[in-house]
Amino acid sequence: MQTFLIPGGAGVKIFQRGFSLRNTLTSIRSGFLNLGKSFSQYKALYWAGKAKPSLTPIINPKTGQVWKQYTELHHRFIPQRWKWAPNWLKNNRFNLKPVSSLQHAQMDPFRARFVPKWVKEMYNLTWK
Amino acid sequence: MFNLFRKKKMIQENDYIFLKALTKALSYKYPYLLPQVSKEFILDKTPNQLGDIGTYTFTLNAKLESKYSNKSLPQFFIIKDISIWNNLKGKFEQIELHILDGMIAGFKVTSEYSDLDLKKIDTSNVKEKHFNNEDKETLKKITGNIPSDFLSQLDIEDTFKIEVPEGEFYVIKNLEDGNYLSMDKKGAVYGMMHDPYLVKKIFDDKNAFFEALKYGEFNIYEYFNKKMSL
Repeated sequence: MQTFLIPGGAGVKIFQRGFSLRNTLTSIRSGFLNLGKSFSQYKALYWAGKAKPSLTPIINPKTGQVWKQYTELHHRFIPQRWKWAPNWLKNNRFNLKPVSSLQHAQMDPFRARFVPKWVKEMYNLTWK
Repeated sequence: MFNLFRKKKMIQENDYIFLKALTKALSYKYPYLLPQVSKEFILDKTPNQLGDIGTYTFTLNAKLESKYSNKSLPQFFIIKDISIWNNLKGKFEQIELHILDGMIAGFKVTSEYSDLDLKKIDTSNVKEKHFNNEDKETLKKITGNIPSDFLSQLDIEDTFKIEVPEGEFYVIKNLEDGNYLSMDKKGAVYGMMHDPYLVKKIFDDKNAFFEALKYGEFNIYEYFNKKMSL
């Protein structure tokens, strides 16, 4: 049990540590950010619905190079990396757009980093 | 009304009829292709910009990939010199099929279907064109023999090299949505997430990784879910 003194008061036990103002604010913030579905939860529900995930390979029949691209969910307005944004704002049907791997890489320079070099060159992808 | 805004599919009934005829003619050698020609599996086709005129790539239903893919086959090869009679030209012409992990993934035809006689298909001179897959060979050298229990959990056959400022990595598992598990040339295992961007070593060497998988100390899906729940 921790004792906090109120100025002018007489050492009254008011709050336990768990109820300190800082902890309260932290838990409010954490609760606000976690409101709504996480990306994994939203994704599971999305693909459990009617949508068919597709596989559209990029094939170079002259060289035999292949990149299997699938339908991916892209955070188009509010990226996952914006930690101030709550889950409900990031993971919803307006913000998560189903796109092919190549389209994803064309829209998100961080996604473009993880594309095979020959695809980066073939489609002039810019990456951060 | 909303159909007005729906993207029209390029694949038509004629495509399925054509593919059925081809795969039926090839069924003595490639019996796994015929059941794949269905509207449930082949969803659409698009011109392949990397191929010659008349080359198309299919959009496949990824939910059926596990049903039709066969990792014991080469990752990609082309079935060439399938001859089909062209009524207009009065001679046979050559068709090719593109096979990815045992799945029909594309084709090349330079004539209109209406000019082709689907009853006159000659498969006696069919050949396969194979390609080297350097990335796969390199990864297999790095990993060595992987216990069969773990092979099904990984995507070794579909690997490709990722080159980023942090180094060169070979994909060992596609975590979907642009995220991967990968291995560097020394056998260290990395998690690679694009949003928020992260390239982080998870295991110092392949043995530690396989041991952790073996004893259930590391679960690929739990790892991904944890990263995506942050």
